[in-house]
Amino acid sequence: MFGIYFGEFLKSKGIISDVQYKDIIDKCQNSRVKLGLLATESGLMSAEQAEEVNTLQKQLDKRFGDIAVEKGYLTDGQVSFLLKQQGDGYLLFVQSLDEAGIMKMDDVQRELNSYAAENGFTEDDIEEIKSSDVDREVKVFLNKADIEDFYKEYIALTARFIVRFVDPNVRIGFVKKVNSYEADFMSKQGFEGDKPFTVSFAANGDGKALRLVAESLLKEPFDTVDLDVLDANCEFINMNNGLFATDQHESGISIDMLPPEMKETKEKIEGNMLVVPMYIKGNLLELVIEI
Amino acid sequence: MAKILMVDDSRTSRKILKDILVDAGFEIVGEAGNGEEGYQMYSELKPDLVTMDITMPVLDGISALKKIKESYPDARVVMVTAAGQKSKLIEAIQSGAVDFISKPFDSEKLVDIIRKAIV
Repeated sequence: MFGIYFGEFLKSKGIISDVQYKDIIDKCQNSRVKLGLLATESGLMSAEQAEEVNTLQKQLDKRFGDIAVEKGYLTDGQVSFLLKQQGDGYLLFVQSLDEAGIMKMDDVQRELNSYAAENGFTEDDIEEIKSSDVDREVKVFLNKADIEDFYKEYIALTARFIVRFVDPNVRIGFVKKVNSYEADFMSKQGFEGDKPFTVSFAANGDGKALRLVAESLLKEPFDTVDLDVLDANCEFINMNNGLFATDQHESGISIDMLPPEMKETKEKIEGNMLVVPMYIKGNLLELVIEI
Repeated sequence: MAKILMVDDSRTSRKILKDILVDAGFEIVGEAGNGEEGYQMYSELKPDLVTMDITMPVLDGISALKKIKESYPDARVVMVTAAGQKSKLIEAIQSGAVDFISKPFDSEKLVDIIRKAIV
């Protein structure tokens, strides 16, 4: 969602407070109705059909609208209509800033230019971020990274998977290449086969992002990061990796998952790695890819 | 009430599966964290059905399936799989698995598969 990215920037510049940021994000989220709900509310799909598409969406790594069209529940035109109904994330955010008396449109444009300059974004990049479409947002950040498409695909899939299960407004940061990495907690799983690599979900401190992932799967709260939390993250990675392995298999690359591992105490790893910051409800989760 | 043994190294996966199966009226008689443990528990408990994860440490699901079928040819085993394990699934079915269930679980489909596998 546009507001998550631009709002963080405004917060970092002291233009909006944390409380104002949260209020505006909440307002934007509440105004943005899920496509399935819109489709049922407008009588284009039954609740059962929407539920079926929601379930398939988690298993197939496809968009709601695409699956609904494939199943014959909606036409392309109806999907476009519903997307328009869903609202423009950029305008919603700007309108909320205006209504809260924080910024007018001119100020927004000035700060947007400054946001773009600071991050090296082009006008096209900004348009992609304004789309509030996770695929397009993530691509902007991945295109700035000098990494193989294979890993870009993995990162994009992981972002989509987090969007579907944990946080519809996950925010991604720039990919870093490192040779050494350390974290308090890690859940990891390796791939063997044509292109072996290992992925970890890592966090420090209270590990809130890891706990949020666990809570989304187990539907219970966790106060601390324990083995149950790390196990749930392994399971989450395992499901995500299964989808990735399927996609790669179709492209002729055969990879298979190894049993997952959990690291409950601080661990340092060395080697060629990509570290991708992902913010789940504002909490940092690092996706670490050992290549 | 049909008795089920769950074999999966992920406690999360076992918990999600258990909640769905218990809600559907099945009895979970045991939980094993790897294939070797699963084989031992099968020998002791003789459940009506086993749900068997594929990727596990110590002894993987397909090896455990083969071991169980060798000692107990009538054993009914349903494989549990993440997407992307097609070739392993084929091997599992050829080795005597009755069917398979995919993660993330679709409760209705899962229960339907388990019911049919037990009959």
